[in-house]
Amino acid sequence: MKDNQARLWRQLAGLSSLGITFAASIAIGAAIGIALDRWLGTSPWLTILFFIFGVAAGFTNLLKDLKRWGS
Amino acid sequence: MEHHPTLIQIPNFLGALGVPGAWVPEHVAMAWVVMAILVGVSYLATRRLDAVPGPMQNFMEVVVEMFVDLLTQMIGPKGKRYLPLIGTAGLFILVGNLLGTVPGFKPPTANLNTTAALAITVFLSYNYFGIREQGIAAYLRHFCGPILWLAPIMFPIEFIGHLARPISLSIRLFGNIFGEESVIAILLSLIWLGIPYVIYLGIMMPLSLFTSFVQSFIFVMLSMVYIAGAVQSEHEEHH
Repeated sequence: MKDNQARLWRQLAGLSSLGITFAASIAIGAAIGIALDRWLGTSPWLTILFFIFGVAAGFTNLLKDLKRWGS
Repeated sequence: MEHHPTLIQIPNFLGALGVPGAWVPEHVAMAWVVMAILVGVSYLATRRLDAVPGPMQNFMEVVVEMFVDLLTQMIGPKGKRYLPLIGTAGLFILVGNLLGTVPGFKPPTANLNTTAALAITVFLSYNYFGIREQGIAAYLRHFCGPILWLAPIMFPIEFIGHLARPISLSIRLFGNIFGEESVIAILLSLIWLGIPYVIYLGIMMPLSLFTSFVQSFIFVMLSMVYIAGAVQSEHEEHH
Protein backbone atom coordinates (compact mmCIF):
# COMPACT_ATOMS: atom_id res chain seq x y z
CA MET A 1 0.00 0.00 0.00
CA LYS A 2 2.71 2.42 1.06
CA ASP A 3 4.87 1.39 -1.88
CA ASN A 4 1.96 1.67 -4.25
CA GLN A 5 1.22 5.16 -3.05
CA ALA A 6 4.84 6.27 -3.42
CA ARG A 7 4.80 4.89 -6.95
CA LEU A 8 1.62 6.77 -7.74
CA TRP A 9 3.13 10.03 -6.53
CA ARG A 10 6.22 9.46 -8.62
CA GLN A 11 4.07 8.71 -11.64
CA LEU A 12 2.04 11.85 -11.10
CA ALA A 13 5.16 13.95 -10.84
CA GLY A 14 6.72 12.41 -13.91
CA LEU A 15 3.63 12.52 -16.07
CA SER A 16 2.79 16.08 -15.11
CA SER A 17 5.91 17.22 -16.94
CA LEU A 18 4.97 15.67 -20.28
CA GLY A 19 3.21 18.67 -21.76
CA ILE A 20 5.64 21.39 -20.83
CA THR A 21 8.67 19.39 -21.99
CA PHE A 22 6.95 18.73 -25.31
CA ALA A 23 6.25 22.41 -25.84
CA ALA A 24 9.71 23.46 -24.68
CA SER A 25 11.37 21.05 -27.14
CA ILE A 26 9.55 22.53 -30.10
CA ALA A 27 10.23 26.09 -28.93
CA ILE A 28 13.94 25.38 -28.47
CA GLY A 29 14.18 23.72 -31.87
CA ALA A 30 12.54 26.69 -33.55
CA ALA A 31 14.69 29.14 -31.58
CA ILE A 32 17.92 27.39 -32.58
CA GLY A 33 16.78 27.33 -36.20
CA ILE A 34 15.91 31.02 -36.23
CA ALA A 35 19.21 31.93 -34.56
CA LEU A 36 21.21 29.87 -37.05
CA ASP A 37 19.30 31.37 -39.97
CA ARG A 38 20.05 34.89 -38.76
CA TRP A 39 23.69 34.00 -38.30
CA LEU A 40 24.23 32.17 -41.60
CA GLY A 41 21.64 34.01 -43.69
CA THR A 42 20.03 30.82 -44.96
CA SER A 43 16.46 31.76 -44.13
CA PRO A 44 14.14 29.88 -44.00
CA TRP A 45 15.76 26.44 -44.42
CA LEU A 46 17.43 25.93 -41.05
CA THR A 47 14.34 27.20 -39.25
CA ILE A 48 12.28 24.52 -40.95
CA LEU A 49 14.90 21.82 -40.34
CA PHE A 50 15.37 22.59 -36.66
CA PHE A 51 11.65 23.01 -36.13
CA ILE A 52 11.28 19.44 -37.36
CA PHE A 53 14.14 18.39 -35.09
CA GLY A 54 12.35 20.10 -32.21
CA VAL A 55 9.10 18.27 -32.91
CA ALA A 56 11.01 15.00 -33.18
CA ALA A 57 12.76 15.71 -29.87
CA GLY A 58 9.42 16.46 -28.29
CA PHE A 59 7.96 13.15 -29.42
CA THR A 60 11.12 11.26 -28.43
CA ASN A 61 10.91 12.71 -24.94
CA LEU A 62 7.19 12.00 -24.80
CA LEU A 63 7.69 8.35 -25.70
CA LYS A 64 10.61 7.94 -23.30
CA ASP A 65 8.69 9.51 -20.43
CA LEU A 66 5.61 7.43 -21.17
CA LYS A 67 7.73 4.30 -21.21
CA ARG A 68 9.28 5.26 -17.89
CA TRP A 69 6.17 6.47 -16.07
CA GLY A 70 3.25 4.82 -17.80
CA SER A 71 1.63 1.60 -16.57
CA MET B 1 -1.18 44.45 -9.92
CA GLU B 2 -0.42 46.56 -6.90
CA HIS B 3 2.86 46.00 -5.22
CA HIS B 4 2.87 44.61 -1.71
CA PRO B 5 6.12 45.43 0.02
CA THR B 6 7.79 42.64 1.90
CA LEU B 7 9.04 42.80 5.47
CA ILE B 8 12.65 42.41 4.52
CA GLN B 9 14.10 45.31 2.54
CA ILE B 10 17.83 45.30 2.06
CA PRO B 11 19.54 48.42 0.67
CA ASN B 12 21.58 47.75 -2.44
CA PHE B 13 25.11 47.62 -1.05
CA LEU B 14 26.61 46.61 -4.40
CA GLY B 15 25.77 49.91 -6.09
CA ALA B 16 29.47 50.74 -6.30
CA LEU B 17 30.00 47.62 -8.44
CA GLY B 18 27.40 48.83 -10.94
CA VAL B 19 24.43 46.80 -9.71
CA PRO B 20 21.40 49.01 -10.44
CA GLY B 21 18.50 49.81 -8.12
CA ALA B 22 18.14 51.29 -4.67
CA TRP B 23 17.12 48.01 -3.04
CA VAL B 24 18.19 44.42 -3.36
CA PRO B 25 15.52 42.77 -5.57
CA GLU B 26 12.75 41.04 -3.67
CA HIS B 27 13.45 37.51 -4.83
CA VAL B 28 17.14 37.82 -3.98
CA ALA B 29 16.39 39.16 -0.50
CA MET B 30 13.86 36.37 0.01
CA ALA B 31 16.36 33.78 -1.22
CA TRP B 32 18.73 35.08 1.45
CA VAL B 33 15.98 34.70 4.03
CA VAL B 34 15.55 31.07 2.96
CA MET B 35 19.30 30.51 3.20
CA ALA B 36 19.35 32.05 6.66
CA ILE B 37 16.51 29.76 7.76
CA LEU B 38 18.25 26.68 6.38
CA VAL B 39 21.61 27.59 7.88
CA GLY B 40 19.98 28.34 11.23
CA VAL B 41 18.02 25.09 11.31
CA SER B 42 21.06 23.07 10.26
CA TYR B 43 23.14 24.74 12.93
CA LEU B 44 20.53 24.06 15.61
CA ALA B 45 20.22 20.45 14.48
CA THR B 46 23.93 19.67 14.36
CA ARG B 47 25.09 21.78 17.28
CA ARG B 48 25.10 18.86 19.70
CA LEU B 49 25.10 15.67 17.65
CA ASP B 50 24.01 12.83 19.86
CA ALA B 51 23.32 9.12 19.51
CA VAL B 52 20.00 9.82 21.19
CA PRO B 53 18.88 12.78 19.08
CA GLY B 54 17.09 15.79 20.44
CA PRO B 55 13.89 16.96 18.69
CA MET B 56 15.70 19.17 16.19
CA GLN B 57 18.27 16.58 15.25
CA ASN B 58 15.55 13.95 15.07
CA PHE B 59 13.52 16.03 12.65
CA MET B 60 16.46 16.75 10.36
CA GLU B 61 17.47 13.10 10.43
CA VAL B 62 14.00 12.14 9.22
CA VAL B 63 14.19 14.73 6.44
CA VAL B 64 17.63 13.61 5.29
CA GLU B 65 16.56 9.95 5.48
CA MET B 66 13.67 10.75 3.17
CA PHE B 67 16.01 12.21 0.56
CA VAL B 68 18.42 9.28 0.88
CA ASP B 69 15.57 6.77 0.45
CA LEU B 70 14.29 8.52 -2.65
CA LEU B 71 17.82 8.74 -4.08
CA THR B 72 18.55 5.04 -3.59
CA GLN B 73 15.18 4.18 -5.11
CA MET B 74 15.65 6.32 -8.18
CA ILE B 75 19.39 6.16 -8.86
CA GLY B 76 20.49 3.00 -7.07
CA PRO B 77 23.01 2.26 -4.35
CA LYS B 78 25.31 5.00 -5.64
CA GLY B 79 22.56 7.58 -5.30
CA LYS B 80 23.74 8.78 -1.91
CA ARG B 81 26.57 10.57 -3.67
CA TYR B 82 24.15 13.15 -5.04
CA LEU B 83 22.53 13.96 -1.70
CA PRO B 84 24.29 17.35 -1.32
CA LEU B 85 22.93 18.73 -4.60
CA ILE B 86 19.46 17.19 -4.46
CA GLY B 87 18.95 17.80 -0.75
CA THR B 88 20.01 21.42 -0.97
CA ALA B 89 17.85 22.12 -4.01
CA GLY B 90 14.88 20.32 -2.49
CA LEU B 91 15.05 22.03 0.88
CA PHE B 92 15.68 25.43 -0.69
CA ILE B 93 12.67 25.10 -2.96
CA LEU B 94 10.44 23.71 -0.24
CA VAL B 95 11.28 26.41 2.30
CA GLY B 96 11.10 29.04 -0.43
CA ASN B 97 7.64 27.88 -1.51
CA LEU B 98 6.38 27.70 2.06
CA LEU B 99 7.64 31.24 2.67
CA GLY B 100 4.84 32.37 0.37
CA THR B 101 2.24 31.35 2.92
CA VAL B 102 3.77 33.61 5.57
CA PRO B 103 2.35 37.14 5.41
CA GLY B 104 4.97 39.75 4.63
CA PHE B 105 7.20 37.34 2.77
CA LYS B 106 7.27 36.28 -0.84
CA PRO B 107 8.52 33.00 -2.22
CA PRO B 108 11.84 33.50 -4.03
CA THR B 109 10.70 30.74 -6.39
CA ALA B 110 7.95 33.02 -7.75
CA ASN B 111 10.62 34.66 -9.90
CA LEU B 112 11.93 33.03 -13.05
CA ASN B 113 15.51 34.09 -12.25
CA THR B 114 15.64 31.99 -9.09
CA THR B 115 14.12 28.91 -10.66
CA ALA B 116 16.26 29.25 -13.77
CA ALA B 117 19.36 29.40 -11.57
CA LEU B 118 18.29 26.19 -9.84
CA ALA B 119 17.41 24.43 -13.10
CA ILE B 120 20.65 25.44 -14.82
CA THR B 121 22.61 24.21 -11.80
CA VAL B 122 20.86 20.84 -12.05
CA PHE B 123 21.38 20.75 -15.83
CA LEU B 124 25.13 21.43 -15.65
CA SER B 125 25.51 19.05 -12.70
CA TYR B 126 23.87 16.05 -14.28
CA ASN B 127 25.88 16.47 -17.46
CA TYR B 128 29.02 16.72 -15.35
CA PHE B 129 28.04 13.63 -13.34
CA GLY B 130 27.43 11.72 -16.56
CA ILE B 131 30.81 12.68 -17.98
CA ARG B 132 32.50 11.86 -14.68
CA GLU B 133 30.91 8.42 -14.47
CA GLN B 134 31.23 7.34 -18.10
CA GLY B 135 33.93 9.49 -19.66
CA ILE B 136 33.17 12.15 -22.24
CA ALA B 137 33.23 9.85 -25.30
CA ALA B 138 30.84 7.29 -23.86
CA TYR B 139 28.56 10.02 -22.56
CA LEU B 140 28.39 11.77 -25.91
CA ARG B 141 27.73 8.43 -27.63
CA HIS B 142 24.39 8.33 -25.79
CA PHE B 143 23.39 11.39 -27.74
CA CYS B 144 23.96 9.63 -31.07
CA GLY B 145 21.46 6.84 -30.63
CA PRO B 146 21.95 3.14 -31.32
CA ILE B 147 22.37 3.30 -35.11
CA LEU B 148 25.53 4.91 -36.40
CA TRP B 149 24.33 6.38 -39.69
CA LEU B 150 21.36 7.97 -37.93
CA ALA B 151 23.70 9.86 -35.61
CA PRO B 152 23.62 13.19 -37.53
CA ILE B 153 19.84 13.22 -37.07
CA MET B 154 19.76 11.80 -33.57
CA PHE B 155 22.33 14.19 -32.16
CA PRO B 156 20.36 17.44 -32.65
CA ILE B 157 17.18 15.68 -31.53
CA GLU B 158 18.76 14.46 -28.30
CA PHE B 159 20.49 17.80 -27.83
CA ILE B 160 17.21 19.71 -28.09
CA GLY B 161 15.57 17.16 -25.80
CA HIS B 162 18.20 17.78 -23.14
CA LEU B 163 17.95 21.56 -23.50
CA ALA B 164 14.20 21.31 -22.95
CA ARG B 165 14.77 19.86 -19.48
CA PRO B 166 16.05 22.93 -17.61
CA ILE B 167 13.40 25.04 -19.37
CA SER B 168 10.57 22.79 -18.29
CA LEU B 169 12.00 22.50 -14.76
CA SER B 170 12.32 26.24 -14.27
CA ILE B 171 9.10 27.32 -15.98
CA ARG B 172 6.95 24.77 -14.17
CA LEU B 173 8.20 25.74 -10.72
CA PHE B 174 8.05 29.46 -11.49
CA GLY B 175 4.62 29.22 -13.08
CA ASN B 176 3.01 27.29 -10.29
CA ILE B 177 4.35 29.39 -7.46
CA PHE B 178 3.87 32.69 -9.25
CA GLY B 179 0.32 31.80 -10.19
CA GLU B 180 -0.55 30.75 -6.68
CA GLU B 181 1.04 33.92 -5.34
CA SER B 182 -0.93 36.09 -7.78
CA VAL B 183 -4.24 34.43 -6.92
CA ILE B 184 -3.62 35.00 -3.23
CA ALA B 185 -2.72 38.64 -3.83
CA ILE B 186 -5.86 39.21 -5.91
CA LEU B 187 -8.10 37.50 -3.36
CA LEU B 188 -6.60 39.58 -0.58
CA SER B 189 -7.11 42.78 -2.57
CA LEU B 190 -10.80 41.87 -3.05
CA ILE B 191 -11.53 41.53 0.64
CA TRP B 192 -13.23 44.97 0.68
CA LEU B 193 -15.83 43.59 -1.76
CA GLY B 194 -17.04 41.33 1.00
CA ILE B 195 -15.30 38.20 -0.17
CA PRO B 196 -14.79 36.50 3.13
CA TYR B 197 -11.39 35.86 4.58
CA VAL B 198 -12.50 32.26 4.94
CA ILE B 199 -11.88 31.70 1.24
CA TYR B 200 -8.30 32.73 1.70
CA LEU B 201 -7.73 30.72 4.86
CA GLY B 202 -9.86 27.73 4.01
CA ILE B 203 -9.13 27.22 0.33
CA MET B 204 -6.00 29.07 -0.72
CA MET B 205 -3.85 28.19 2.28
CA PRO B 206 -4.22 24.41 2.02
CA LEU B 207 -3.92 24.68 -1.74
CA SER B 208 -0.69 26.64 -1.55
CA LEU B 209 0.74 24.30 1.07
CA PHE B 210 -0.10 21.44 -1.27
CA THR B 211 1.54 23.07 -4.33
CA SER B 212 4.58 23.95 -2.24
CA PHE B 213 5.22 20.32 -1.36
CA VAL B 214 4.23 18.89 -4.72
CA GLN B 215 6.33 21.33 -6.74
CA SER B 216 9.47 20.79 -4.68
CA PHE B 217 8.89 17.04 -4.89
CA ILE B 218 8.52 17.20 -8.67
CA PHE B 219 11.65 19.28 -9.06
CA VAL B 220 13.69 16.95 -6.87
CA MET B 221 12.35 13.84 -8.50
CA LEU B 222 12.91 14.98 -12.06
CA SER B 223 16.45 16.05 -11.13
CA MET B 224 17.04 12.54 -9.83
CA VAL B 225 15.63 11.02 -13.01
CA TYR B 226 17.98 13.19 -15.08
CA ILE B 227 20.99 12.26 -12.95
CA ALA B 228 20.03 8.59 -13.11
CA GLY B 229 19.72 8.79 -16.89
CA ALA B 230 23.13 10.43 -17.14
CA VAL B 231 25.15 8.15 -14.83
CA GLN B 232 23.64 4.83 -15.91
CA SER B 233 24.45 3.43 -19.32
CA GLU B 234 21.51 2.30 -21.44
CA HIS B 235 21.54 -1.43 -20.71
CA GLU B 236 21.98 -0.87 -16.99
CA GLU B 237 18.75 1.07 -16.78
CA HIS B 238 16.01 -0.81 -14.97
CA HIS B 239 12.41 0.22 -14.71
